[in-house]
Amino acid sequence: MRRELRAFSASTRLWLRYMAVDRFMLFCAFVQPFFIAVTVMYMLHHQPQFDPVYVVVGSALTGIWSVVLFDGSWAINSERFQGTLELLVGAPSSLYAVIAGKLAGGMAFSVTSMALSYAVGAWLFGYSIVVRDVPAFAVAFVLALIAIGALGVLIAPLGILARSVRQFLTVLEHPIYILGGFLFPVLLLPGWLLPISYALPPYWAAVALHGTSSGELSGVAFAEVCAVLLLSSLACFVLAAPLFRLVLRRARVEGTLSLT
Amino acid sequence: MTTASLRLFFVGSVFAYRALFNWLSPGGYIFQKMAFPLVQLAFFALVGAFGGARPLSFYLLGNAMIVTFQAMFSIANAVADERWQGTLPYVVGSPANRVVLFFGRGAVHVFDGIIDVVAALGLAVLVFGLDLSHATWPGIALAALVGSLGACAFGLFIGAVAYLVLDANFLANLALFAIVLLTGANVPLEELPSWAGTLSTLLPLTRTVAASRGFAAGGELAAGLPLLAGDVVVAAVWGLAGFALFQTLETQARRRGTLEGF
Amino acid sequence: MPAITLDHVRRVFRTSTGVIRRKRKDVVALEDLSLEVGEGELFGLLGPNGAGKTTTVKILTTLLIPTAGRASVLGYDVVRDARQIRPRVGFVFGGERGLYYRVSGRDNLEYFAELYAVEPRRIRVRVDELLDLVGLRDRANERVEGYSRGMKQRLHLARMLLHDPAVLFLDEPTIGLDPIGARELREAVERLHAAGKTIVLTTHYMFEADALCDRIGVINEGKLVALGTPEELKRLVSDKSVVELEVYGVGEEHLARLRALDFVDSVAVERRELRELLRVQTALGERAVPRLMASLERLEVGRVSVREATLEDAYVRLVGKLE
Ligand SMILES: Nc1ncnc2c1ncn2[C@@H]1O[C@H](COP(=O)(O)OP(=O)(O)OP(=O)(O)O)[C@@H](O)[C@H]1O
Ligand SMILES: [Mg+2]
Repeated sequence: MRRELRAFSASTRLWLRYMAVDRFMLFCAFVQPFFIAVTVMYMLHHQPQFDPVYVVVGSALTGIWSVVLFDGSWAINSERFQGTLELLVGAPSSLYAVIAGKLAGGMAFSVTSMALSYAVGAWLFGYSIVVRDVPAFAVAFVLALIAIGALGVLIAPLGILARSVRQFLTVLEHPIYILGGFLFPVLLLPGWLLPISYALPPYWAAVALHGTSSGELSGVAFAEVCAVLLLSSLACFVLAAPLFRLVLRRARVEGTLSLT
Repeated sequence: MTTASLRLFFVGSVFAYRALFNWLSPGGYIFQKMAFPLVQLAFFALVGAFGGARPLSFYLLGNAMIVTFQAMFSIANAVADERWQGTLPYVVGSPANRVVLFFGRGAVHVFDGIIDVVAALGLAVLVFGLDLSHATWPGIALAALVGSLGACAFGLFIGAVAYLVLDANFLANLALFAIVLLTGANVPLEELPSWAGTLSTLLPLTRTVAASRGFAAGGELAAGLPLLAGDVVVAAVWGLAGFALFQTLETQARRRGTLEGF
Repeated sequence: MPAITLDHVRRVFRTSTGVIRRKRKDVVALEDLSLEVGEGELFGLLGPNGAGKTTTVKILTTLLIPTAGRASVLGYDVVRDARQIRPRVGFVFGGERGLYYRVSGRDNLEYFAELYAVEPRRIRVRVDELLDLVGLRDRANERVEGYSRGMKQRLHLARMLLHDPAVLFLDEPTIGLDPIGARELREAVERLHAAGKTIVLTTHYMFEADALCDRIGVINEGKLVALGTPEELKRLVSDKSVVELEVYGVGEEHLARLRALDFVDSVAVERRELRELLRVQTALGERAVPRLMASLERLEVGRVSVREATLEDAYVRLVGKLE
């Protein structure tokens, strides 16, 4: 266990440094949320009940999700392309810990997209942005990050399962913006899509963050949302373990750990 | 264009598709190519439906035209892929006209772009209830074509810049979001600050978006043509700029020996 | 107990070709390989391209699962006990890949030190030690992307040694190194050997195998074709000499005629600019020269020399071709 923790934290540190120079990740964490925040601010500010913090939270969620989605679905493959996957598999620590560490790095990195969206609202548009229930928001923020990160850990082994799976994952960026209700209520969606929304951790992350920032979510309802986030995180972490074993076994059988 | 260039153009195109399908299955490719622009359209349309000041059709048409810009990625990436595979020095070392070659690799995607627009409009009509019953169809078709050509020209420019600053995908993504924000597809132009308004006139889709809204509402073809002509001119300028940049950059890279460093 | 055992190991790769209609094809990388490597032994694995050397190494380092047969390292089965093997072995695959280019060489080593659970207090010291060993100390804080090929390879060597493994696998470690770099690497391998490590080394360089290895296994097309000490392998050709003839415009018919001679064991051709070098193995030595010349008839023959057969000649004879 201690060994796995060390692998986890070493990967987090390495990956944070890596992402800081990766243009694509910078794009996901900064540029895209910036543009989304600006565009959506312009689109929504006519609303009578417009609250800029809604756009800040929603755009930040888009940034966090994009980082997790791409980081997650490419986590193993990027190692394969670099030729380091064999070294990771050949090392005594588990690949699970390494990849989870990588995603933790991604999460830490994507937190900055929250700060950036805030800056867009505050400086560019001159809004005063107020989080109504700060302690609850802080709790929701941490739980939301863990829940979305856990989903990334589950996505990671899927990313090398098959090329078609990876292609499917790549186009999941905007659908989760939509189904997660990041920047509009999911009630706008056709009814048959709602069960899908409710089954997605990002949706609950959005409920928790929007709800606590506007102050509309508190008490038992808030506790319930927190419980859902925790349970979904746990479910992802648990489900990921056999998946990792499966894909690694398969890669060793098929000889696909390296490119040649 | 000489016959040799024409041939190169087609060889480049065929090569692009071959390489692509070795990598992706045709079904997967179509899925990826169609799905991304369509869900992006749905996202912005829903934000517009949630709280936009304009009717839904405003957002639907704007974003349907943005879909044509998928072609920009293809051309810009034609260059990026070369570098990724380390084949750039060999291509540059060959006597082939690389502008034609890269353009050929990307231009097949104009075709994809137009299919994407059709799908986007289908989505807008079927799912979001866009009313196109009075639309001037030749105008809409022309707008889609102009949009796709603009995307190619812009992609060529980005590909050339990517020769210099290394990352075509990054630039193309950046450009796409500039287009989402600044062409009037989602945000009415008059709401933008004046300097952003200037930028939007320089983008090769701004007038096409406006024209398509006119055509969709049943406006005369003649009324929209000047707008489309304007975008053709803007696109030509970007394309030529890209071409010129290619030539200079390559000469410089050869002189400084930085081709390998790509 | 031998450090490494391969027991009828077979490995098949399934590949697919074709764009739309994919055709499946099986490539047999290892046909049926059995061998043992003793503890503390420096074992050389020789063979032409595609012989199955890398496949063997990857099976032993738990990166590939054999299609059939069993293999074990230090008594642990490579499939069942992968977790026991991993902390005990180190490996490098020749070439430049497999490093995190955007961070420094030191970062790479520190990262893998964590993954190999090197005692935290010792990491700094250990990394410095190894950087000294491979001569990268003064460039250690630069990004790996700026390293030369040889530097990257040396970094790999340091990475392999981080956790002080008992068994080492080196797959073509000197590929792409300059002569001095290659010699330094060979010296490092010798020191590790002297320190008691079990080492498996694959190489294309005969003199490298000759100079370093206790024993050599030659594989060809996935099969073991010879096994023994360098001396034993040389003995395969010990009674032989090699006649080297420089000729101009040799054709298949000449080669066939030479090969048909009863005193000729093998003929290899090396094409050089404007001429060919024929290497004829024969027990006759100098006495073979006139008869060889006779059967080459009107062909123009340049320099002729006769020498004793070397390990390389033994190898050529075993795998039937020159590389
Ligand atoms: N992942 C793979 N997929 C398909 N075929 C493979 C794979 N790995 C190896 N092979 C095939 O197995 C055979 C043996 O390959 P291997 O890499 O073991 O040879 P080698 O002796 O190391 O050769 P070299 O000297 O060129 O490194 C070759 O025919 C190779 O093409
Ligand atoms: Mg090999």
